[in-house]
Amino acid sequence: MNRAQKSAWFGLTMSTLLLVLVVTSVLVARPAPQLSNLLWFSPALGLYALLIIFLRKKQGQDKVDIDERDSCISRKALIAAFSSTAGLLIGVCMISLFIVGPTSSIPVCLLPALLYSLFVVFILTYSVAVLVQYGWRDKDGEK
Amino acid sequence: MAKSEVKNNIRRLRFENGEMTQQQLADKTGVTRQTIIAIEAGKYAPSLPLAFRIARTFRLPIEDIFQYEYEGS
Repeated sequence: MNRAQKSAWFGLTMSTLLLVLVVTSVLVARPAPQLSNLLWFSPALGLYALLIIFLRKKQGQDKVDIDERDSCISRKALIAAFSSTAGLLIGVCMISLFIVGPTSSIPVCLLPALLYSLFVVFILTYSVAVLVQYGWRDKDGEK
Repeated sequence: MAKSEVKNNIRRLRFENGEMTQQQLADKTGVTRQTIIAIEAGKYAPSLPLAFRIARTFRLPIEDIFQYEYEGS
């Protein structure tokens, strides 16, 4: 398992956990959303900082860390992540337009939750796309 | 990833060249072992520069290592 796969597994685990937390916090805060109800998942940013540090950690000085195949996989995963995040944002906007109506309003404190969700979905899609392209398995079809 | 139409003899050539390991070939061509595994399995078609580096490692022309199989061949 290379660095990209380890990072993807970490990202997948963290994203799933955070997505559950974000959805739960929005559901808990549903009757009267308050900023304090939504800020408790802010440590998520710290956890993602760990992911970035994890991504930058090199395996060894004499070993090739990233080659052309890894770059190709990463590029395709980024495209998938951007597309899904954009699709989700458009979907959320359109659905809320139809549900709430064009002249109604939503609590402003739901916006950070939306941003968190988009970020988490981005990482989740990216991680899944990376793992699918590598083939999920540990040794990538080694014989 | 879909299987590429580029077939190769890398696995056979490795064994004919002193039973070269996948890691040794990876080190000589500047890629990871996973990439060599993927190329051998036909899961990844290498770029032209990498194909030339592999050909140079085996001291063979590129067409002796990689064959492009198109429809009707």
